[in-house]
Amino acid sequence: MTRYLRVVRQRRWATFPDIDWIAPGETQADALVDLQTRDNRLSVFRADNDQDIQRVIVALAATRDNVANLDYAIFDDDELVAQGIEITQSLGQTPDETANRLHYDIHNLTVRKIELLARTIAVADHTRVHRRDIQAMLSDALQSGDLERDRVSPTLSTRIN
Amino acid sequence: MSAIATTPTLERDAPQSLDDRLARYFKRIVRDAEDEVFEDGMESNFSRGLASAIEEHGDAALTAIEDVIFTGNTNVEVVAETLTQLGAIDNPSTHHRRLAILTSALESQDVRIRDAASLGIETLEDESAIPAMEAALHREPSVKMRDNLTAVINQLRAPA
Repeated sequence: MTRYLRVVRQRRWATFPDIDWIAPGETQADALVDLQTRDNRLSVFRADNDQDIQRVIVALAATRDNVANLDYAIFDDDELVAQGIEITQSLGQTPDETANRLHYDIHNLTVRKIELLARTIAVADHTRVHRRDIQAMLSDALQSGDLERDRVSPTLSTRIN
Repeated sequence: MSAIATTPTLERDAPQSLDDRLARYFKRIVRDAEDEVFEDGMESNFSRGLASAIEEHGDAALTAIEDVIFTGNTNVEVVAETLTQLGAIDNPSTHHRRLAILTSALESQDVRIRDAASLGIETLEDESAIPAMEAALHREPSVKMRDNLTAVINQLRAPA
């Protein structure tokens, strides 16, 4: 079993009973916004341990315009692989080269496979890292050199320090 | 064309009152926002349009956006984005009004709107929001949302 991380917006995955018009076991259609494909691919990061998860979170936060909370889901690939979903490694595009090596593409996606992925993520572990923690993590990563400062947007960079 | 260049602007020459112009402006950017995909921490045409109107027109702009987003017909995703952005805008003169809108939104029937309001309050970093947040926590039915509210309350109690 391999675990992967995908950034989501937690409220798009709110379900019954928190949202009363959704039947038990159903997921909001707006959750698909978090699974928007490009060239039938979806970007994920391998997340086998807490150290990798933290590294990826900081790397992803560093690709943004502003310091903000970061919501993510962690899911395993057992059911996905069994259903023919293909996941291959490809270099990520964050300002952290170590995190970039944890990047994978789920590719050759079809509507059926996206539905399966949505069902998997809907029941996965969803976590929120709050803004102040993101700020501290970004600051530490810039100081330690984990993040390449010149690859962080100037707007974000000024807001971290 | 740059993203900034596509940000809507107020119709300054139109022969209406400022309130009318702001109402029309916000209706337009809210309608346009329904076609945008929002991501946490990322600017959008909508966030830039909202921020520029508030910076220029202060509380009058907030009255107008409040009227638009709380009509009950506005897309929940756009209402939520508005609330998170109200916390992020750097405009001290409207701080109290923005906080009032956010604490009011904590009473929404919709968990997605309550969540966005708590994120806005988190970004405002104003400990005077603690009583409203504690009241929201007390009545909150969602387990996940209670965890999120608790985290924000703890953060407000320990200023940076």
